[in-house]
Amino acid sequence: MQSRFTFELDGEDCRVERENTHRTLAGFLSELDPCFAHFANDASWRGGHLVVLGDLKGDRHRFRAVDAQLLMLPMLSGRQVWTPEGIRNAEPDHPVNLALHNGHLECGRARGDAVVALMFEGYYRPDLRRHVQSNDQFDAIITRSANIPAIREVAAQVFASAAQLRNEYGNKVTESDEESTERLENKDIFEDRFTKSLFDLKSRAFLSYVDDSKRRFHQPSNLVELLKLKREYPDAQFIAGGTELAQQSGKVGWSNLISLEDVKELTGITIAKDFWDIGAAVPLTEIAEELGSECEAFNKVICRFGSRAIRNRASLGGYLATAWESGQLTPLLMALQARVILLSEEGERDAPISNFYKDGGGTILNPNEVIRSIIIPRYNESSLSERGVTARLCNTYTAAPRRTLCEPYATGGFAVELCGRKVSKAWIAYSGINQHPVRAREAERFLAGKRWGEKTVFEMLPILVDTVKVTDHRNEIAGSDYRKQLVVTLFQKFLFHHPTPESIRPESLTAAVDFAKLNQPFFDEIAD
Amino acid sequence: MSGSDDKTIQFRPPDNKIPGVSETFGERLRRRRQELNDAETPPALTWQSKARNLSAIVVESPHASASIARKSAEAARALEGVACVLFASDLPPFQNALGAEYSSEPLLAEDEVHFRGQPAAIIVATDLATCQRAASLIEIDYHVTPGILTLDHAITMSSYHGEPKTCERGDATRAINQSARKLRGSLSIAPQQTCLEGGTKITVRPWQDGKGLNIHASCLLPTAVRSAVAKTTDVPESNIHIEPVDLPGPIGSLETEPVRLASLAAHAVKRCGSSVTLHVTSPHSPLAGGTRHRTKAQYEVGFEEDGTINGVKVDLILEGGWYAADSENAIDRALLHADSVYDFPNLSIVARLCQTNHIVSSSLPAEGAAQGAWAAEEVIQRVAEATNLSSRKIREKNFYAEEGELKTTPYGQPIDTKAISRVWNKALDRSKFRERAEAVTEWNRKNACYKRGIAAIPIKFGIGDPRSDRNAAAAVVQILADGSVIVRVGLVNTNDGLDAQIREEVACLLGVEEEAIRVILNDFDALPRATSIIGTDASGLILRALEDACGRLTKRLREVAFQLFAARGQTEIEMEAIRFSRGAVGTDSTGNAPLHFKEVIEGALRKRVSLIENGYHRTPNLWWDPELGAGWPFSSFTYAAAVAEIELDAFTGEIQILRIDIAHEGSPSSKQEDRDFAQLMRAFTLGAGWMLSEDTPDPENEHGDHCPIEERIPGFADAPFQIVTDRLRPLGSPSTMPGDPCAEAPVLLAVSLREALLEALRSFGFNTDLNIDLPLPATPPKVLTLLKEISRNQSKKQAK
Repeated sequence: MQSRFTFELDGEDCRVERENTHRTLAGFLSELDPCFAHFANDASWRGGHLVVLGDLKGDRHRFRAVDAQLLMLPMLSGRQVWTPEGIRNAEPDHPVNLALHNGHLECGRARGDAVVALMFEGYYRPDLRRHVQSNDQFDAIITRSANIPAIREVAAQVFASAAQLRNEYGNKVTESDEESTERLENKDIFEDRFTKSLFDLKSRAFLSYVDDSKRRFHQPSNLVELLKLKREYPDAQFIAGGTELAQQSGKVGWSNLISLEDVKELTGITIAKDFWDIGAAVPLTEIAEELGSECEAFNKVICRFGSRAIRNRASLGGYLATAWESGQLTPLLMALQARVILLSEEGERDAPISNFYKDGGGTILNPNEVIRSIIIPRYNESSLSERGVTARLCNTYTAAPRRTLCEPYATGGFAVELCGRKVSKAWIAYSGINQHPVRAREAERFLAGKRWGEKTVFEMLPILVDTVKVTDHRNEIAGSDYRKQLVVTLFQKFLFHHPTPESIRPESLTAAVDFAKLNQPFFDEIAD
Repeated sequence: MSGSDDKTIQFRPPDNKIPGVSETFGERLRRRRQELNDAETPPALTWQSKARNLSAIVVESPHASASIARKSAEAARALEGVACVLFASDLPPFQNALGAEYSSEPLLAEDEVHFRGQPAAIIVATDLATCQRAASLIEIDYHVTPGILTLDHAITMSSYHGEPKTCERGDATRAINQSARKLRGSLSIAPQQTCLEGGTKITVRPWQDGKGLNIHASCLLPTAVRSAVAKTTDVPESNIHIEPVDLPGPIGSLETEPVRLASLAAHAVKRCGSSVTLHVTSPHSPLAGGTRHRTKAQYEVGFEEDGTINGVKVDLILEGGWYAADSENAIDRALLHADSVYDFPNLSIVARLCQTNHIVSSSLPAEGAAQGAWAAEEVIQRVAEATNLSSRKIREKNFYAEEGELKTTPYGQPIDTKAISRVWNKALDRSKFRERAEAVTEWNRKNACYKRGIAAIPIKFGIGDPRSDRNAAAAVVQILADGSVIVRVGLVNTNDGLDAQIREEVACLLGVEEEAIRVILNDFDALPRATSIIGTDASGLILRALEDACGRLTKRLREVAFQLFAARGQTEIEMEAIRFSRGAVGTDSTGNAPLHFKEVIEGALRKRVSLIENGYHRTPNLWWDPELGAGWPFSSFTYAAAVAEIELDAFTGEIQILRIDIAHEGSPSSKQEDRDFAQLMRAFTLGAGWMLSEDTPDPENEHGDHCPIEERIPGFADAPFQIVTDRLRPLGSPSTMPGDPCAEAPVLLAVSLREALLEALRSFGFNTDLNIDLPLPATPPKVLTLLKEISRNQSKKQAK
């Protein structure tokens, strides 16, 4: 066991010694230097105190904007942290600093910091190409004080300059006939102070940290070590991204924590012919990057989950284990027929996501078990035709007080498999209406064998109303009457957008593109 | 308390005998002194006590209306770590009040509580956890009494603060009766809550060997906090130093609430002799944030079939809580904006303040003005529905229009009719309103479930504060030996770019480089007067105060420069021709080599010329007589117009703002375009949240449980897809131009979103026959419920 470790803070080594295992980065920084004193204030409701985490995962180097309040100190071992203050001072001529210096953003100290961190991350994001994506990149900014159009404008300039660099590099690679399949992320295209130190990062070493109160933080690197540690410390709490547990830091006294972040079996996405096997500790951002192009619904729902900073840390396994009653992801997972693989020393078991939640709240996860992965079937033409299915319509819809960083009123996830015009099977699932996510099985049974269309759905709606129980326990968020209405209207919305497999209607955001040319790339030369 | 200690208590002179109390004032005073003598002696101020920082919390009333039958803190006081527990009776005589300007609200409840959250006791202990444990040991027996929780209840019970205020033009009653058509209705405007960053925490430290107090607080008007603490603790204001926290925006803090909490913390410091940090820990505590004034506007209007409005009667009823403090200003501003930009020939406006069992409502940007102007817009909207004409036509028909004669508001302040038509036409032209309205109709015809609405709204907004004493500002400009400049301003820093504007203006006025100027915003020791950032033309006042200071400094420096030029033999230079520009002092004539600014300063120092100047500006000729309903309460009006287009999702009730076009009058300085735009967006976002998403707890909900306001503020992704603004130079002479027209006025423009939403709803078949009111704010649950109601009523109608 070790009682100290180091991480890189604003380009310099920072030694952590004898600090409480549960200490968050925000708490640590607030006492480190007076310039970080504002990190002591709770800022979770307005997107948190954002910093940028430099990380090496596999062969991919990347910067991720994260909330310092949701990072426990031992998670930083071997990583790099850039505070907004550090970003400003380390390279004043960096495109982000230059653009923000000139822009008139007027967002106050804390919000200005968030803009720096998010714009910095966005600058290095290879997948950030279109104006519409700015909304997702900056969705951690919740304030009455920010000049949002100005931020958008500055971001467009910054992201365009990054896209231009990437484009130039891409052209160079093509000309020199180098291996073009290599990820751009693996190359230091930018060659600035930040990327140089990022590319100097080495793989993280195994960490087993103990604090003065004998609380341990283990960071095993494989499943064998993980299960061994769990046997040794049966009371230990698993922790992946820590977005949920870090909020309880200081309020709940766990004795030991076992981090899943570096367990290689839990941190990868396997893409097989018929399914995706998503490791439980894979952050949501990565899942969206891998699955988003094929399963648009997944991308859409992940973009409305928390904020960019939360999605950069929150994992799918952590999300399921916390059994969030109004979480947006579960209904879609149910509609996609996802399965959860649970692992313990006794062996592995597999549960459909629909059976994962217990009535009245909680999950079937035993204390000695860990979620290994989530298996999501891929519905391609060949797999469907094997079963005689001609089309599979699937989507998810959320109603919420605002687009991101809030507790949704309710979410519906729907899928119908069609044989010709007839429904062979249907999946109707909701979250936020009951103490746990639910399936509307009677309505699903009713649809089976019926012709997909308005008439069938209108016949089915009374069953939906009668059989889906809406409880009063979330009335302070939204009254049960409203949530009862949503049970019906969210399904109607699904029908509206998917009247037939041939004529799927685009959603309103896409329909409104003509207003702001949102779908245009930041940099015109980028080829799709 | 010892005899010598007695001398330190400075009681106010007895002014009157308390009615209904048998003992004389002197007897009462002697009795209270005796009680204090018997009480525990405050500890001496030692270095140990000074180094200690205690925590404190307030024990809040859980009831909106109750009498206190018994209170006991025996167990709490006995708890280890508790420094003191103070009830109202433990405070020195006559110090349990906030003062007349706060309706003499008691700091700690005496025998009755009048709102949920009213402080009943304060607990001071070594740490917060001990405070909370002690709070659970405090025994207070309440006899709950029925309170007045809603505006309707207050109206029924005629529970008002003071007399109604009125403002009239012509004979509204007769005009309405003689009109071809008339209608009446009402509009309920829910309050909007503040959303404070970093929680509510106030630290008060003993200062100057215990003779003074140092207050660290987040507040909008630090001098108000200083004055209140000075009055309630009998410490001279000069011995109170206030360190305000930089705010993230003008709504990042409150005006009244910090006064109450700072006064309580100051009493705790005086009792314990240590620093005390007062925390309000519960996010649901009414002390943790403020709300706007809940408003009900009842109106009656008489009009012709062509939409000409003959007469309007508006009754504006604002909720003032139990102790009305900021509310006088809100009610005045509501009254003064209720005509909006419409020339109603016969208009009667009555504004009243209801007394309810809630905490006093707070001021936020455009407080009162928004409620008043929106009532006028509601009248227009209803007339448009009744006549089946477009609301745009009704507006244009009833604008204050140029007809040769000077148009004035009902209270007599002139209106710039040209400015109204200018912003209105600009907004319509830039937004291509007519083409887009047709496109929206076409969209709605094709789309059954996503409906769009487009609407245009004009506004006028009075710059300045009807309380004329607030329309003044001071600034200190000090030139240092090397020619650099320090500017001190008594204004809380809200990170809104004012410091940059000040730097720019001073650089221009003194002719120095901007880099050589340091602006200190939060200086309340050097400046006698703090400028409020809400309700006043803060930057306009401050810039004019700086002009005053810099004018006098340059006059003196010009004399020095003249002498220096003369010493060089350049005697032909005229003193008036000497200019200060970019660090050089000289004339426009090319033949004369200029002096460095630094040289002139060195010369001034040698000649013992003062290099410090106090600038002061007060807006001239302001007056407002509420009893007469007449006056010139604002330095000027600013005019703006907005076109909003929204899309409504009929499945969820969610609303997406598609595009906003705003034509507005900017500040006179052309350099401040970016700052104007930033302020405009800030204010519009505030209004948009109020209109569409920021739901507040039901006033009848005793416990105040509600989804936190933080979850309702519009986020980055909720911002309009497209924003187009036209910044127009204000018409008129520079002396009457508004200095800060974009800080508050755009809040009013957010009503365009409501109008656009009404248009979208109408395309579902919404009409007056169904008698459905669109709630404000129109949150998704409320909109979906409304749509369900529309559908049900239409089915019934069709069945008939």
